[in-house]
Amino acid sequence: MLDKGVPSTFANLKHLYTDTSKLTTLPKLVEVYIERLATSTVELPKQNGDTSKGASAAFYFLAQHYNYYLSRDLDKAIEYIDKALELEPNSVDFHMTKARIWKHYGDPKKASEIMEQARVLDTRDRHINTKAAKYFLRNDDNEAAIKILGLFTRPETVGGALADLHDMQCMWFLTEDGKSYARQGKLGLALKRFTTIYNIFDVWQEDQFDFHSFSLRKGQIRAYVEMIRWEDRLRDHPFFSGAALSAIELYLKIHDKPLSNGMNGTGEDTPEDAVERKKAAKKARKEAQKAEREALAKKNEANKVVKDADGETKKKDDDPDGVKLAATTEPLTDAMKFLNPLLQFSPKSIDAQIAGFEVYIRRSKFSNNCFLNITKL
Amino acid sequence: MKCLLAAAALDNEHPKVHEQIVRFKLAIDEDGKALPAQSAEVIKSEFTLLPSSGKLSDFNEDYLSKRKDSVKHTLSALTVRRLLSPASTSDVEKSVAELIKKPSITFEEAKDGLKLLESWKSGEVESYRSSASSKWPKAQIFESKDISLAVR
Repeated sequence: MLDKGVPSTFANLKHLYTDTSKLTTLPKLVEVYIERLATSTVELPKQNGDTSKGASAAFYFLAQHYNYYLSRDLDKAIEYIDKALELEPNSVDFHMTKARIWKHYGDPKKASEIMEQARVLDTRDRHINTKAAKYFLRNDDNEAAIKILGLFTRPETVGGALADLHDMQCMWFLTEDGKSYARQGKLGLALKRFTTIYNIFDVWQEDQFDFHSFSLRKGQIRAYVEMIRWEDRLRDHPFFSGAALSAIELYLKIHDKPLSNGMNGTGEDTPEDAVERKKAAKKARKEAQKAEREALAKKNEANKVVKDADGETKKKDDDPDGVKLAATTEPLTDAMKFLNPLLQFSPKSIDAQIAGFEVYIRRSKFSNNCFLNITKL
Repeated sequence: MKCLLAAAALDNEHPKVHEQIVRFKLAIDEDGKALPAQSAEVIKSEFTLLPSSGKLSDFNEDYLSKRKDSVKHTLSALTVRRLLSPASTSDVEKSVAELIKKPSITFEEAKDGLKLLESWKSGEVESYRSSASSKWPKAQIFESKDISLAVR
């Protein structure tokens, strides 16, 4: 496989790593292979100018081996991937692995830079485009991520790349973008993204009604029955659970420490904030008053119907930054919106139960819930 | 309680479950008098996650001594110790900061420790950061706040 430069060699073999003897044997075999190539006592594989075979494939395997969680040694991993890149400097896969190594080092900035180098090597590949955008989001560089994703969205969409990603219900992006904003303390924007995911699941539930008559008319009974079953467990999807858990965490944060500026302020209470708090509060009050005036002026304009290039009608979002979501006066009630389906459809998730406890204990509902449940039995 | 019992049934050893058991007991003791008698009776009969006799602090110390090799469980027990005895805050913070010296500590566990100290606004944060950054020199998260702000 190394002779042929099969890119998935490590992926095909890593399932053997649960056995410690195999875990130690495999890299040794590859090292022997590299030594053999170096001494050149045997005939080298025919490469026909293809440098991704032989030694570079072996270095690539070792880099992946030392990057894998069961055999991690990141310094060795970076050493091997650099050797592989010396032989094959234009390999997208090698760059991607190097970015992953930096991610495991805990340096998302460097990782995103290297993933971007990989993307530039093949700008027409959607997979690497997505990866680069994700790495930018993990580095909290939301603007750069949108810019890159914009290369694959419809340019004529009203509202740009972000609006198109919403239209396409691009859930991985919404989740990562929300988590990134949450890390930055921009709770409004983060809640906006998680609420969008909640709404997408609502849309799916609503959309099923179109298929009842359609499936029966077409006689696709099996597909219809499958759809009925899918509907029953729609919200046990990991995308929903992930967004719901993140949203609940944010609402708990808002409950424990209401935002001083009521919008996308930092949730953290650092000493610098304490010094600046009065200033910021004053500024925020002014901004809030200004926003209120603008909102009043645009009242008739809000939810106004706009048309995109295809003539399709769209509703204008009157709270694009999630200011209203973050300014909630009842964060625990809002958290319940996410918690109820979570507990109903993912009862075996310990994270869901832990989140449930956190919400109920703050609502002082330690008796009623269990009492009702027990009396029903 | 329903969530707590469900979580305990799923994984009784989960560090968060230990923390929540103690918090639930404290909440019940505090607000128990305001509860209707029927509810209090149900809670008493259903909430069996704590030993019937003995102090909460003993329960916590027992938990800690049994799982002292696990960083996550130790963090949970130290959080509970701080909750039960606010006077011990500085000692608890020092104990959390000491965890970074454990040879078996993982990157994720180190991040949890930092998060905990930051949430307590502990004075140990900077020393913890420097110890962690010597262990993981390339990790941005353990860089001193001043440095990371300058870089950005």
